[in-house]
Amino acid sequence: MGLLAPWFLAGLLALALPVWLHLLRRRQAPPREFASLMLFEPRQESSVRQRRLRYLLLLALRCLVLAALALAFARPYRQTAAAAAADRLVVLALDDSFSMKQGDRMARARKAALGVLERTAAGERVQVIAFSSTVRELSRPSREREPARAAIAALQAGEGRNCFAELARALRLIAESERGPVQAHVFTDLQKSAMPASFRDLELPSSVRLELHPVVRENLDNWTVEAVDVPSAVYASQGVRVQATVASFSSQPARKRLHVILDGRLVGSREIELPAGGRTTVEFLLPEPSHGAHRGEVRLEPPDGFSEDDRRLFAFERRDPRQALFLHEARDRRSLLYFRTALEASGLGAFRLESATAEEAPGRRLAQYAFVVLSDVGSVPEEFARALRHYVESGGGVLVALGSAVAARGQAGWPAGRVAANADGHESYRTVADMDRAHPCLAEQGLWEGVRFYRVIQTETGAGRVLARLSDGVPLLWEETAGAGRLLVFASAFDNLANDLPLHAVFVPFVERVAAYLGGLDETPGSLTVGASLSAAARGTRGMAAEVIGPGGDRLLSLEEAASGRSFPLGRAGYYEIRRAGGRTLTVAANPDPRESDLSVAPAEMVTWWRGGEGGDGRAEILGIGPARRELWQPLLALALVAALAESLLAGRYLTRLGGTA
Amino acid sequence: MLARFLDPAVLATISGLDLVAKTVVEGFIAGLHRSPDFGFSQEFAEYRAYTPGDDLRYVDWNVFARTERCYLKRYRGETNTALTVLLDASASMGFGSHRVNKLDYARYLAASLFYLATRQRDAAGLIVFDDEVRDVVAPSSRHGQLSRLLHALERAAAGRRTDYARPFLHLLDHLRRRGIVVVISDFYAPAAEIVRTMAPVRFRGSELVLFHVLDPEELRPEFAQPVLLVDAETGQRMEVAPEYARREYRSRIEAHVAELCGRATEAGMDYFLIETARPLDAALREYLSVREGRM
Repeated sequence: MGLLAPWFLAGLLALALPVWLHLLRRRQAPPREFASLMLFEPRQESSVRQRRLRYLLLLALRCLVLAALALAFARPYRQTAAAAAADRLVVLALDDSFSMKQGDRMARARKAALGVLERTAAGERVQVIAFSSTVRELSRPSREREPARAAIAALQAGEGRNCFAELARALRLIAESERGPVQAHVFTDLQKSAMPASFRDLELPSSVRLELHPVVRENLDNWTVEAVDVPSAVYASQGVRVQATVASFSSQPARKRLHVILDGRLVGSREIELPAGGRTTVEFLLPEPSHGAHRGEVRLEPPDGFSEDDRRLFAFERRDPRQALFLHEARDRRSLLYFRTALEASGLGAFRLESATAEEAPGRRLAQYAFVVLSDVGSVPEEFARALRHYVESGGGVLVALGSAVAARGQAGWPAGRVAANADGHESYRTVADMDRAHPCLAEQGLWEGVRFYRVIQTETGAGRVLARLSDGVPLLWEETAGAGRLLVFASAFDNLANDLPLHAVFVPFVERVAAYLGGLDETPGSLTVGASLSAAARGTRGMAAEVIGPGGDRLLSLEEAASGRSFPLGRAGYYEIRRAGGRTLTVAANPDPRESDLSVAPAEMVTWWRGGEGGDGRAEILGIGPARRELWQPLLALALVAALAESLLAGRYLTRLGGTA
Repeated sequence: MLARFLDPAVLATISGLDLVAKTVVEGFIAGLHRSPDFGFSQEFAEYRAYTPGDDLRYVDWNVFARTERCYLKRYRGETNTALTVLLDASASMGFGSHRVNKLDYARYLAASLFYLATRQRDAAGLIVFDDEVRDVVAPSSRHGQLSRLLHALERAAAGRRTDYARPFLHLLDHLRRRGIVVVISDFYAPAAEIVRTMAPVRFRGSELVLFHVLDPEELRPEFAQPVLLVDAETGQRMEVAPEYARREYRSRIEAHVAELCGRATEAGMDYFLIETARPLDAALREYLSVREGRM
């Protein structure tokens, strides 16, 4: 028997409360004159009997409740090692993260795991798991040793990121499913970067005993290409700007050479000086690429002790800008001027704005446009309105701006919405009071507080999501759901008359983000980290067929998965080719998490703590991990609950009796 | 009907002890077949032959005329009896759980006895005491004695502690002839000590009657909850549980009463326990009946 939190026994002092209530509390009855106390015994009896233990059973139950609670919080346990030995599950957890590719770390981990496997007792069950950013079961719990031996021997390091919190979570789940104790042997390089921010994430149930088997003891100098910044799509006719960041995990400065290889050809090379433990950013300007997808990599030479992280892949696509349609009233040229200028000034380059008046609109085929802007269009032909709805429901993006034309007509041209009676402007201006910064159109933007809105058209927002409100609560910008597409409504105009937004610095990024959002530019980056998930289908085509070719040229999705266009995880480093409906192909590069390149071993004290101190029992005391301990807090809590219920019933009876007496 | 008026609570509404006494005594006398013997009496008892030295006033000359023999005519209670009441006016006598406390009841009782004695032309006296002798009215059968006694009773108020030694010493000093000594008290003292203190009076040839006056709550206390009791004489405080009062105290008071009764009887004293809730005339009737039967 023992206690894991003995300081909670101080709660037993609370037992004094019911004892005081029952035994020692003096009745504050008013004094009452009596002829003589001669016949009242002057010894303790008569008065002590008044203070006697009233309702002994009630007192006992109350004391029992408090004592059981205090004991439960003190977490008593009893050693059940002998009884539980036969039920013990030995879990062999091998780290197969990217850093285990360095040298012979993986081989050492396998060898150590096999050694532990051979030492397990005959009656014990053994399970093998591999962990990195996720935990995979390599063998089921079994008394057979051969499946575990084969699983260990076949295990190779992957490209995932090590995460001890994920391992701890898996061990907790195993412990929950196991009745007996769990002995976990962890074979890992104990990367410092794999430790969670909070030690609490490492907590294990009391039935789990953890034993760490580090395969390395010391830090290893390493240099890596930490990041490559390349736009996923290139529209400009000039060259491609590639920015590479090289990180040093060494205490010594180093001189390295950085190469940029595009489509198998060396297109750039530069000598760099790396400070000790620092970073260096290098920029390359690649010549204008041809149209289509391009694969490249940035490589660091000469190779160091961990050559697998000396290169970083990237991919981009050279595309033509897409058309965007800007519809306006014939008399309104100002809105077009401001919007076009802002879009061109943004440097986005992905869209080419085409303008037309409302009367010219019916002749346009909307499917060819990335998005459509209806700038204060008072009326739209019915046929074009149907085309617009179909366009949005099919995945298109539309921005509707409301201005004087709409106010004059009393109803928005499209989508139809009645203008409120009080919407025809205010003599004084209003400002933005509330913005949904989580929305892509408004994220990372400057202050809108200085923008003055003189005319805001108030229409029915319906079930739309309001993204911005003015100081009087009137919605300024909201998004309406319309099929697979995106429909934004801006309750003012871009003509610099209804407001002075076009004159403010926030206008350009606002237009840029709205265009990118409506045009679908925010979908797929060109470079991702191993372990991330990627949607096979493009926005608005969910449910349509898409095919994914992995780094090894294999198809990653089954026929059913490909038909549904579902998301898939990037499990390995390399290039992924996504072939979507309509013949469009997207290339995405996956790289290991750069934190895996930091081969620093977790500090000794941290490791010692996690191992449970020098003798292996310290952490067990802290985390409640012990050899086959059975905690008794649950039955104690149950006892407290039962006693509390009994006390309630009994006290109720006494109170009823007292009430009857009174 | 009369009995209803003699309830102690009803007596308390009558102003003037003389009226109270008269009401009580006339009431119970009316219910008796024969007047009680309480000292002198005008009722014939027997004839006795004259012997030299006898008072010639009591010779029945009618008998002498017919028989030429001298006989003395004897009446009941011929022995020149004097009634002396020792009234305990200690603080404990001021206790009462209802309208009439023990001292009031004792006053009614004493007044009734005085009225009875005066009606029979007995001498009557009073000693009021607590731990000292507070008031004394010497026994006398003179005219106006009853008024003096009743005034003394009116003046009696609950005082301090009880001390039986001093009033009995005083009594012994002034006891000149045999008589009846009535002690009205709640007798909160050890029974042996009480009897030992009073026994000399008995040795002088006087009869000693103890009226033990107790409130019903002193005999059968009922507390719903624990109470903090304060001794009326000593000021001592004590918390008392209802269970204790219901069980042990009752057995103790019963034992005290039984012991006092036993020791008094052994010492030749008469002992009567009277509850203040009991009608006074009924208590007196019982007492006189018992005395008459014994005589």
